This record gives sequence, C-alpha cells and structure tokens, in this order.
Amino acid sequence: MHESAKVFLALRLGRWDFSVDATALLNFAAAFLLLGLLWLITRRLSLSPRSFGQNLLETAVEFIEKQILQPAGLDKAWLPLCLSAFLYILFTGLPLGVLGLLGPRAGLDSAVSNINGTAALAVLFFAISLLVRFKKRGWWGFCKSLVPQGVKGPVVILLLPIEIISQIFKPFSLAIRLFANMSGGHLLLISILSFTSIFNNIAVWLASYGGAIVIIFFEFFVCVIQAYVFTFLGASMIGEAVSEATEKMLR
Amino acid sequence: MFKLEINIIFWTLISFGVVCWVISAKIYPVLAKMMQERADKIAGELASAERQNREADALRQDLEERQRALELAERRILSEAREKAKTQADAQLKALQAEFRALRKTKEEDLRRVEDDFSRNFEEHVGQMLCAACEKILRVELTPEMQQRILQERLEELKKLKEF
Repeated sequence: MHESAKVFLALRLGRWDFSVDATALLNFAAAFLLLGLLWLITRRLSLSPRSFGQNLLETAVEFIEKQILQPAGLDKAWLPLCLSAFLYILFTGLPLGVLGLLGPRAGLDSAVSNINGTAALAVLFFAISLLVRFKKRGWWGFCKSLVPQGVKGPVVILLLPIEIISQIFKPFSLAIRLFANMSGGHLLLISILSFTSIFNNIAVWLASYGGAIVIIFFEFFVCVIQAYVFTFLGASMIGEAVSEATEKMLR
Repeated sequence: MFKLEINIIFWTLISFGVVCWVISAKIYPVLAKMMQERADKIAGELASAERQNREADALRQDLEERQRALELAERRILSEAREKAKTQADAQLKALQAEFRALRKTKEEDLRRVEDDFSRNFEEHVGQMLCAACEKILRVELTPEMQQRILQERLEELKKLKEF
C-alpha cells in the first residue's frame, strides 16, 4: 500500500529521505482536523456542557483517566500524552475508513496502517518508559529492574537476556498489533473494491461498494478499539516503570 | 515486505509531537481547569446542600420540639380549663341548690303560715258557725266549755278525715 504513496514534497538530507508523501500529508491532515475540532470545542467550554463536542471530549478524558491511567497506575500528569495518543490514533485511523473507498487506489494511507508509523509511536512510548525508569531509579536501579524479583546467582545471567528481549519485543508487538489490525481492514477494502476492476458489472459494483461501506463502519469500531488498546499498553509500559510494585520489587 | 521509511517515522513523530504539545499546552489545561472548576462547584454545592440539609433537619427537630411543647401546653390548658369549669359549675350548682333550698324553705314556711292562718280562721269561723248552728238546733245557749269541747271533737274528726 504505502509503496505507492505519492510524493508531494521531496526532501533529502544526505542519505535520509524526509519527503512529504501522501501518508505524511494524511497524518498532518488528521492532526490538523483533530486540533481544529479541539480548538472549536475548547473555544466554547462551559461549566454545564451543552455542546456534543464538549461532552464527547470530556467523556474521552474521563475514559482515559478511569480506563487507562488508573489501571496502568499512572497519575493525571500523564493524561495529556495518553489523550494525545488516543485521539491521534483515532483520527489518523478514521481517515483510513473515510477515504477507504478512494485510498487504496489513490495511494492514500495513514500512520496507523503503516508499520513505520505504528513503530514510531510504539518506540516513542517505549523510549518514554525507559527514560522514566532510568530517571526514577538511576543506572543501577534501571539494571536491577530488568531482573525479576527473587532471582539470584547464575540464574540472573540466564534471565537477563530474556528480560531484555521481552522488553524490546513490547514496542515491537505494540507496533505490529496496531499495524495488522488497521491494515487488515484496509486490505479487506482493497480486496472487495478490486472486484469492480475485475467484473465490469453494475451488480458487482453495488455489492462491492455496499460491502465496503459496511467494512468502513466496522473499521471505525476497530479503530476505536485499537486506539484504546495501543494507548492502554503504552501507558502500562510507562506505568510499569513508575509503579510501586516495581519499586517494591527492587527492594 | 517491510521497508524502512524514515520520512513516515519522522513526520509521524512530528505530527504526533505537534498534537501532543497543543493538547498538553493549550487544550488540556483549559479543559482540566474547567472540569476542576465544575468538580469544585459540584463539591461546593453538595457541601452547601449537605449543610442546608443539616440546618433543615435542625429546624425540623426544633419545630417538632416546639410542636410537642405546644401540644403539651394545649393539653395542660385544656385540662386546667376543664378543671376550672368543673369547679365553677360545681360551685354554681351548689349555690343554686342552696338558693333553691332557701327559697323552698321560705315558700314552705309561707305555705305553712298560710295554712295555719287558714286553719285558724277556718276553725274560728267554722266554730262560730257550728256553735250558732248547735244553739239554733238545740235551742240552748252553749257555755264556753261546751263550745270548746264540741269544737275540739269536730276538729279531731276533721284531722282524721284529712289524714285519711
């Protein structure tokens, strides 16, 4: 899919390619759409909310606080990051559905249906969790936190690489999960819509586009679930780094 | 096949960073402040409602106590009024009874006096008529002793007749 992304602005810095292609443009479009909506909502905030947008935003904030931060053991200071991640994935994922009918043919894509985009977000959360863990415990505490509780002697040598690998695999699984779930729907859309190019028949066209519309609605649902799952797992990684349990484990 | 695309990673991080910065710096503080204000307002209103509820409870208890006191006072006043009325009624009844008795006594005495006067007059007139009748029938002049005796006998007969 992304191999066919159209380049709008070619930017090269040595051997690094920073070109703005359709995927990057769609990401920015989704980001600006999100920020525009947030600006519109926050412009008319009131103590007794009457607008649908404010209710929705407050519901999202409450949801992230109650369903993501509290189970992950994080305080409210992490809410903006988690809210941003949730909304960003949601808004970059939703155009995938909205533009799904057009997307596969026009080369449109989004960050969450591109392994590079999901990997960037997953690695960002992983890096934050590592930084937090390092900042909270220092170098020695950081190393000790990689060893499970109660493990001593030569077993540490055996378990330490496994623990390091499991930690590295966390962002990997996070990225793959989001990418696979989001691009799965995308592939399904492509498959269904490809029938229209194979069979030049009005019935096939109607069935293909009808099916595609159904899948688009399903994609909305999947997108919300995946935004929640990604944010929750990312927050859990950070929560694990700052939690009391880890501190007790270190003692 | 996986292909590393630096531009996607870079622009994804940039766009996410922009979103994160705007939300952290501009959107969330305003929203959090407003939500906190609302939470404070709700908490304040709840506290106020709780305080008013307590005050209302205290007022209701006070009112109930006052009502109980008033009911007791009412019962006491009614009881006292009944007692007083009963006493007054008894006193009036006794006074009336005494008055009635005195009046009755007076009237009885009057009646007795009238009866006595009547008897005396009657005896005197009847005696005189009897004596005059006896003198005419017998053609004798009766002595005062005889007159007295005849009169006495007739009066006794009259008494017996009255008793009968």
